[in-house]
Amino acid sequence: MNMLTRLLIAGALAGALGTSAAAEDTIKVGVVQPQAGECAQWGVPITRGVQIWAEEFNANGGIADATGKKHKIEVTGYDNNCYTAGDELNAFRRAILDDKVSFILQTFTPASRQAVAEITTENKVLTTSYGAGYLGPKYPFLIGSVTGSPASYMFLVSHLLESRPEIKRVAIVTADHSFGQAALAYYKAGLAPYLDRAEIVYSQPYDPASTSDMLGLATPVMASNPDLIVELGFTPGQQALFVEAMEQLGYKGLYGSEGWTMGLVTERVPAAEVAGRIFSAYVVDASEPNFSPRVSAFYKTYVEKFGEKEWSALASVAYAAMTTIEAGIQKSSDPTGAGVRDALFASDTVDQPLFGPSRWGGSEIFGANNWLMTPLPVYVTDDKGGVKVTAVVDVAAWWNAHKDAALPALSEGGQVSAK
Amino acid sequence: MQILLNCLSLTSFYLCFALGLALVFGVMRIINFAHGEFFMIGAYATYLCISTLSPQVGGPVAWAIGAIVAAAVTGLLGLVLHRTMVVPLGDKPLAIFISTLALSYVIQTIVVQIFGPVGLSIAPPMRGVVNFGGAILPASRLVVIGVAVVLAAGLWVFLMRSEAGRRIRAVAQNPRGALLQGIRTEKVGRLTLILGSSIAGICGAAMGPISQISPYMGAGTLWKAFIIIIVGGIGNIWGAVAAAAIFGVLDTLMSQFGAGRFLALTSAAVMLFVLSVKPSGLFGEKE
Amino acid sequence: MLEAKDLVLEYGGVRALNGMSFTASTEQVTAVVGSNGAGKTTLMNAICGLVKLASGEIRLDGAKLNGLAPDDIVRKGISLVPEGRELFPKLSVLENLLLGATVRPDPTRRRKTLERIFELFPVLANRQKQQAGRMSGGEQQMLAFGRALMAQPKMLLLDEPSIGLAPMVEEQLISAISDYSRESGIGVLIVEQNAMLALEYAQHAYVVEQGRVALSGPAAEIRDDPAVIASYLG
Repeated sequence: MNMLTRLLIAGALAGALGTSAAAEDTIKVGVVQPQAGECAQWGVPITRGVQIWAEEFNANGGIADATGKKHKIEVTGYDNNCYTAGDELNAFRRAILDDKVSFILQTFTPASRQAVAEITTENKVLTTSYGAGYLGPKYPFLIGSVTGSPASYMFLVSHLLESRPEIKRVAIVTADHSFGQAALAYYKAGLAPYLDRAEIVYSQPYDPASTSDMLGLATPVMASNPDLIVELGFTPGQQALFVEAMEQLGYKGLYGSEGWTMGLVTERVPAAEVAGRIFSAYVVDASEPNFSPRVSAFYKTYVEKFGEKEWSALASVAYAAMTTIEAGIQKSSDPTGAGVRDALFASDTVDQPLFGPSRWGGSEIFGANNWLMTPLPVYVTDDKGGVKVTAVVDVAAWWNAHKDAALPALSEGGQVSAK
Repeated sequence: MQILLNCLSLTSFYLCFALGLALVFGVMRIINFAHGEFFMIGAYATYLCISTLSPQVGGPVAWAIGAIVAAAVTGLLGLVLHRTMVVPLGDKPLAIFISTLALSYVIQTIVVQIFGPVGLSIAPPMRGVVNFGGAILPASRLVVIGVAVVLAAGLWVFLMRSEAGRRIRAVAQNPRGALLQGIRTEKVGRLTLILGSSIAGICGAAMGPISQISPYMGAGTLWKAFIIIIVGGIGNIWGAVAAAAIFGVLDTLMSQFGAGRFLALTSAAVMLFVLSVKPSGLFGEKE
Repeated sequence: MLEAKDLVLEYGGVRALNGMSFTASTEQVTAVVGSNGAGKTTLMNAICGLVKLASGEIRLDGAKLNGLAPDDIVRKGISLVPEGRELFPKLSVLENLLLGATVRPDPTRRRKTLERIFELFPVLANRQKQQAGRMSGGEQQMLAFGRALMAQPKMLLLDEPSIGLAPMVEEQLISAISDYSRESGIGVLIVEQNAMLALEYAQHAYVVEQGRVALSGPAAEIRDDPAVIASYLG
């Protein structure tokens, strides 16, 4: 029985048993992610990440709140039809109204977050994401619990420009959909402070359907002669095809993206050729053993359960996002959506279980101080097809120094909702 | 020059994919909605062959075996489709359409159950790049172009020069007239469906290594193939060739000149324009 | 000998064939005449297996035909030139003719038959490469005859061959076919609304009315009987 079937059965059982099964000790967590279809390649690992997070606690009798009382965690996946905003809302309705969940992990995709802003706030369901995407002062229950998409794109590209002054020409390759557009804006924002010494030579969004012809997509990028390409919107397999096409066209520069599935890349391009040239900035990539022992242990569990081939760093991203909620539950004597929110926002730093003390990020972008600025590890590939941490960006410091340059670019890209 | 090669490469893909669909539709007036899934099955068959065989026999041989297996498996699926849907539903084209739609979902679901919903990637069996005056053509794309040319030329020779091909054309033009010549029209339909399905499978084998394979890859490509056969002229296989070239060039140029995000829109616009000027398509006859 | 016995066939409650019986020799021309709606075309379709009989029996030289698939009936030696010709308009003349020989794969006999058809209709020989749909109506009718003969039938069925043709042309064609059948020893069963034309070339004739045979006899007698003309063929 595969994951999907199990989720369906879990969903069916939860529906059949209704609220009677919701013992008050149990903390219910919903994961609204694509559970079927092409996008399940993102949604399934994310859902698994949250499930493993829950199982780690459940194996020890549950998670203890501030009073010491232990709660089992029950995780249910809900399909959002490949991040379609309308289906996101339907999934939330089922999770909140039918299944009475208290916490939800969802996408950062702005359109999807916007669609559920009302329902989460009305029902006091603390809804986080592995990033921010869309927040607002009217929606206190919509938070971003780690430095992830799309803010991480800004910090990745700015880190690369700061650490490598030889970068002069940057190509931004993003898909023409809601999160591709967000990525484009954040990449531009990250580049904004450096435009006196580097230029953006390519920034045309592409139709996701045109990814079936990767050479056609890569040719104009190559023609712009970049020395750094930052990408967002490809599936892992498409990323590998893109790198292959660029290498075939003779590209020698750097690549940056949220993350890469290096196994797929090295199937097409020798690892030695791209060693030191491919950068990523997932919230955290658990497959890298040195950043944190806890995420390394998580990686081992995942690979034991699902196999190395099924690994995606997104699982660790989801896991990391849940650890902020975890910190809130442990500090709260009332582990409901409202109680945990109060615990998390009790001071302006959160002692994040994986990243250490992290500050709330300020309200310049969203008008709401609801996103937690965890430090961001940047990864680079080695000649074995593995990744290692090359830097940990102090994102709060960068943001304080450069937000005046970055904000206009975000605003122009439609990402600033603060009035 | 690179743009020209890109046009050629994309045209080949469109052609390869639309060819089998155009054949089946042209001869039998049946819309096989599962055509995309046959394409997908071809890619998965190739994936299996390459991942299990290439350590022993090398990439190219494993790919060739994969292509043969793909053709065989999809040909068999074509036969099953003919037996279980086309023959029993006979002269109800809408019912056949709906059942092939159902079949496409069944195949998708089965593949999801076996291989998971996450896309897979086929290790490229042919590495290396061919240079043409400063432009490059990866070997794996050369394979796609080669396969498309061989399939189109082979189909042309088969239809125009062989007796079975002549019978297929006769049935396409006048099924009743064909019956009166003692042509076993059911057998011709079966052959056509097997042929069209195998072409989809081989195309999947050719395309698999240069694109990501997933249970949904066929469904995503099918709409383009429909547009191609509609623009080319329903029932006209050579019109499909011309339309594949039109979209191969148009789509490449659009990606090249920064309009890549409007591809779906322009394809639909071109189709509507052609339909309004010439309702039977560029090379179609009036029914 | 083509024998039909008590053929009954209904179309939506209407009896198109209502106990029709006849025999047609495989050595001569037999005409079936009658007014529109008398069941002539239905009869042809029934012999070819295109429609199913409710009851009755059709035999060719003793072998039962009814119940066989249309293509098997062609194999047994029945070849129909249908009303409206049913050519393959975009295929060449030669391809149309070769398709007619689908059930006779022997290449030597096939070539011989083709040569004879070209002798009979030289215009087909000259236009082998032309698309069938681009020829005149008369030429298309010749092609339809030629294609039917390529199946080397024992019995050639002609369904309203004169429709849409100029009187001169139709006369020529039917004359050519009846000559051919005499030389080759094949039977012809012709159904025609233009009764006088059919009766002129036939040896034996049946007059049908409301799905059954009203009258039969030597074609010449029927043609010369003013009472028959008046009551059935007017």
